[in-house]
Amino acid sequence: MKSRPSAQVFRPRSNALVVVFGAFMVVVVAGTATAVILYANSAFVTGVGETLQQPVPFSHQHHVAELGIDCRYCHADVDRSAVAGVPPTSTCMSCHSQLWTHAQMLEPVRKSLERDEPLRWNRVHDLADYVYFNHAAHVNNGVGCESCHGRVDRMPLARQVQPLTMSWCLDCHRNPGPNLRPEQAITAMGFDAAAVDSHALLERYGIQVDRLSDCSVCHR
Amino acid sequence: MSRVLSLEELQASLAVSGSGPRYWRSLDELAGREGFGELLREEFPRLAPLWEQSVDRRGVLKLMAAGLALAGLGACSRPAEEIVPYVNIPDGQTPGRARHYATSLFVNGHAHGVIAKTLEGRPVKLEGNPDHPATLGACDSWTQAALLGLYDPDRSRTPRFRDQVSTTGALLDALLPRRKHWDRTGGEGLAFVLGDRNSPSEQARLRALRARWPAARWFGHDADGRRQAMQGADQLFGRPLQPVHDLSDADVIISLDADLLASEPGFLAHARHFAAGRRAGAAGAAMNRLFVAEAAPTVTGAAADHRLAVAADGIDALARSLAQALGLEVPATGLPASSAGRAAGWIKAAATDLAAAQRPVIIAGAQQSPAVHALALAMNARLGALGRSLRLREPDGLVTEPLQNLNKAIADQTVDSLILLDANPVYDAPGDLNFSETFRTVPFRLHWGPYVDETARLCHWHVPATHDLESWGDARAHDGSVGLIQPLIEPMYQGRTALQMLALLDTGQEREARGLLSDYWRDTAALSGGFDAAWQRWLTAGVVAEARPDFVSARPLADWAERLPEPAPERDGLLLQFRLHPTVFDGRHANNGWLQELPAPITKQTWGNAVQIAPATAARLKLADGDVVRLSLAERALESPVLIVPGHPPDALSLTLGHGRTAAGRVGNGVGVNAARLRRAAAPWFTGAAAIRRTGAAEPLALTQNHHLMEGRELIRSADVATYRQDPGFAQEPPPDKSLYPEPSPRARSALPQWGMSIDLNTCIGCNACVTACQAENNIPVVGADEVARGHEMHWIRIDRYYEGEPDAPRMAFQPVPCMHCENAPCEYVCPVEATQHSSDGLNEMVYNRCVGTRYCSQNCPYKVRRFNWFDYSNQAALATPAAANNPDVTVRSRGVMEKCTYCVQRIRSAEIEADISDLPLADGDVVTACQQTCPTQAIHFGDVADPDSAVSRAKAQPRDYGLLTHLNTRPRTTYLAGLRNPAPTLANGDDDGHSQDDSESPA
Repeated sequence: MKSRPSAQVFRPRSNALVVVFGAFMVVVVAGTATAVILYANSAFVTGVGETLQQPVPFSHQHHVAELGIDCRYCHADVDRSAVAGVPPTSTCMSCHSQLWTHAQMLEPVRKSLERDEPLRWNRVHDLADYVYFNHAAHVNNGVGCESCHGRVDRMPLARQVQPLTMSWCLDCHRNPGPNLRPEQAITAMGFDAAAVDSHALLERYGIQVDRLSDCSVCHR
Repeated sequence: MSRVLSLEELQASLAVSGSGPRYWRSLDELAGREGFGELLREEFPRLAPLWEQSVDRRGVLKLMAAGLALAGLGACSRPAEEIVPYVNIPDGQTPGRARHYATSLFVNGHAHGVIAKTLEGRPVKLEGNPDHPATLGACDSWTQAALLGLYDPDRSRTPRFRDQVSTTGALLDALLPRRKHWDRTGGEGLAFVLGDRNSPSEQARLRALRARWPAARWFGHDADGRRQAMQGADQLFGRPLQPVHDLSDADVIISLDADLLASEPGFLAHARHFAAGRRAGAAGAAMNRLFVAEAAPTVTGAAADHRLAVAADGIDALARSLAQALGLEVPATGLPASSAGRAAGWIKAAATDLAAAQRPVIIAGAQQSPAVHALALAMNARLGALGRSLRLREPDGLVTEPLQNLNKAIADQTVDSLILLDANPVYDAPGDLNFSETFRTVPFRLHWGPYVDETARLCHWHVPATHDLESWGDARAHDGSVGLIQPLIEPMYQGRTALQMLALLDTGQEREARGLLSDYWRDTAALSGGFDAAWQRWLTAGVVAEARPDFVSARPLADWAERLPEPAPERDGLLLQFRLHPTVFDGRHANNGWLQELPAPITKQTWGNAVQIAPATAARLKLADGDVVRLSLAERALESPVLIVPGHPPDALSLTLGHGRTAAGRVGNGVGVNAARLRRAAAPWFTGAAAIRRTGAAEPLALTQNHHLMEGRELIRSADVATYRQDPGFAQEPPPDKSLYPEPSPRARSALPQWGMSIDLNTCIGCNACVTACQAENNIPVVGADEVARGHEMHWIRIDRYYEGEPDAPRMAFQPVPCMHCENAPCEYVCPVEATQHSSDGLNEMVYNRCVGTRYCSQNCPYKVRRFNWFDYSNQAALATPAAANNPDVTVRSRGVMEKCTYCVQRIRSAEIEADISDLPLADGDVVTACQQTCPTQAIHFGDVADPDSAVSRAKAQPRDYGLLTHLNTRPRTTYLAGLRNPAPTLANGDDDGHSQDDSESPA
């Protein structure tokens, strides 16, 4: 078929328009992307710093810093189960049947034991249901409580300090060394990770770093 | 549906086949018919209707706008979640860690020992108990699916009176005057109908009731025909005895219509022992040989070295001829004309083998007549098998009358009170009894059972039964061993255990379930030590070691052969055979979605039954798959679609029981037709004089048969033992050509371990246990009949069934196909969002939360093992698995997500973490996949392929090892061990079933 020369559709100044439009689109796309990323990582979405209403205003600061109770007294299964274990009412009452036995604040705890109805705590650290986090795997491999939960010894009410996003998890899974500590310091608060030899710890715990970013380590 | 196929067409197509065995999967494929390939070339056939309902542009825009608005709303706040700890933590409980308990379940009336896994008091998975002699650590689909039965929302919840909610207190009040009356009259007018539960403590209670009310009558509901075996023993030995077969080390096994590998009592142990004999053959020792004569194809027939299709009424003649060939003097009859030639060869070969056998065993099917059982037992006795591979036990339980006597007693008005325990005769009584009509005339009817079923609806009183997983009780296995049933969970509803129900009848009082059981055992067991220690031991092991079965010895009567009934005259016309359904059995599992959707092993039919018919008979009657026919017998008739089954005996029709329920529950109601309507009480399992007529209608069948065709490549490989001995590497093929270019992948994987699987086709019997185990472990949804018909079934492991040889007498073979976990996985390259990736330990991972549902991976998968969630199956109303039954270690997938076999990655990871915590290296066998754990024949090996000493590496090092489609350079981690057959030398030229014996695959 014979082609017929057609009239010029675009005039030369269209070139400039294209450049301006292109630049505008780049700005829009980059701006949108930045906004989405900033939003997704904002405390509003991740819940960092948020304090939730709890049935009993339990103070980690008081129990950990002032009384010096080890994390594992209450979270007893943390080194052998996927879940750390929120203590049963009976654990609270092991002390509070002797101490502060009439405190108004502890009324729900006494009621729980009396009526055999569990306390219902609001979850502070909430991972997506498709993430299979395992506490035992972490605390047995040198990851301290503090690394994820922050300075609970300074928290009158528990709050989330880390974003718990996948990129935050992966930061450590790709380079766990800086977050490792020796066994005796797992529950310590204010531990200085820079003071220990992370290579030696990686070696000692037998951590195969190249396997830690496999999808199925967390997603099953 | 397809047109009628002529036999000539099929044979012509076979004639052009080349050398070596040529496998085919369906008759359409065999004929290579036009349109067939087109149907299959689509990845999921019959997809088109989904697209045909077009949406206009306005509709799309509206939906998009609404979707956007709603998506915004949904993101307004994070969903709040609660943590609810214990008040007092139960002893030994660690939240998040599973506990395991040994218990027993009734599987079709017999005990199967299980280890139940519970999480925070919630049973989530059942496995076989290795210490239980009847299960040997294996499991079956029924046991696996019992978990779903526990959480079935349709279970009966409260006692009922005249279809209204009531209480046991009210029942006790109602019973009080009656019990007084029975005490006065010795139970005059009282009748019991007993289900097939075999429990020592319940039987003791029943005996006590019988002693208390001696005039009461006892009827047994013989669901699977087991009564006939005892009647056979009665004919031979002069007293009813229960045969217990033992296939361990058996070298020649004869089945006379017995599905001994998949449904006869003790089938798990039989399958395990049969597989051991197969494995020994592969390892160089002598291989056992299985002869099967059967009336409809079963997995046992598929596993046979010599399978003979004989209509059910011809088995008697066959048994007589075989007995004669073994030198027994029995009145003989001619072999059925239709299969006389083949039968003669089969008998000759079987007799020759039996004469030379070290440890032979002959088993007659439960549905066969007492005469066949007597003949089989006599042959065993003749061959010296008594006391070795065949032992005899006194019958368990009460002697009961058959159901037709009850019908007569009701009609004669000698029964005024009827108590039914775990029986549903209104549904499954033979149609000629017209049972539901007679039943209604009984003035007092009481039913105890797990569902408000057809019978319960017609009863005045109904008491719900507890599920075995919430009961205290005991259960006896086929071999007489006894295991305790302990509850894994508090009864969810107001159910009563069997012992509680019997105690209620006996004492008129409610008793605590555990006390009833322990009282029985305290009184019964003669213990040297204390009872409490023994009780703990039994609960821990799951088996009552002290309750050893008493085997008795018996000798055939001198004149037994004379008392055999006259052989039936040659039949003309069609024989109608009633078979137990391979998944829903006699209908008791009808409300179980896992079992309804489980493809029947041979026909691959789900969700319903069909009239099974041989290809030749179908051609003669001009019937095609799905044609609805009207079956009539005397004045009763029913309509059902037809399914053409290669290997079915000609001039016979098979219809399975267990479907057509009207009060099963939301899953089982209205699925298929109730074959019991055509049954005759006098001849419950097969009957002549059936008429068949085409109605002209057609009905789609939910088959999984033709889906996922592998385009006729050599996917399944097998050989004779003789060929294998000469050429052990017969299944090998040359490695794919080396590429000129450097291969980017598989990238070197240094991490240890490297996971792989090996499946032994020599021992796989295609029983489907792995499919249900996988479904239970991996939260696989049930999709329903329509979706299966569209090819949307979700099973992560499918069992491909292949035929080889002529359509009227084919050989059958099975091949389980899970994900191959290719090292060079084609699916991984095409995923645009990297939702499927390779792990450093060699797993092909599927990340659901990343998947956007392009389905490219499925398109590119040469093995077609990926499954797509077209709808939100896991949450859809009718068929959704109750959330409590889900495995919390596996994500529940939603709509629009691809899924597939993960090698049970959750088990791998938890074993690794366990090893890590305990500072012990991961040992071979620490990771067991769900399919491997459940496999009755131990055909599946899984482990570290980088470790040359692991079981899986040793399996893969065998010369029979081959991979599927390895020419594509996919490098599958799942490989197969080629199947082996052990044909008898006298039949090795194929004069039994006509197919070529040149089985060797060319290694070049």
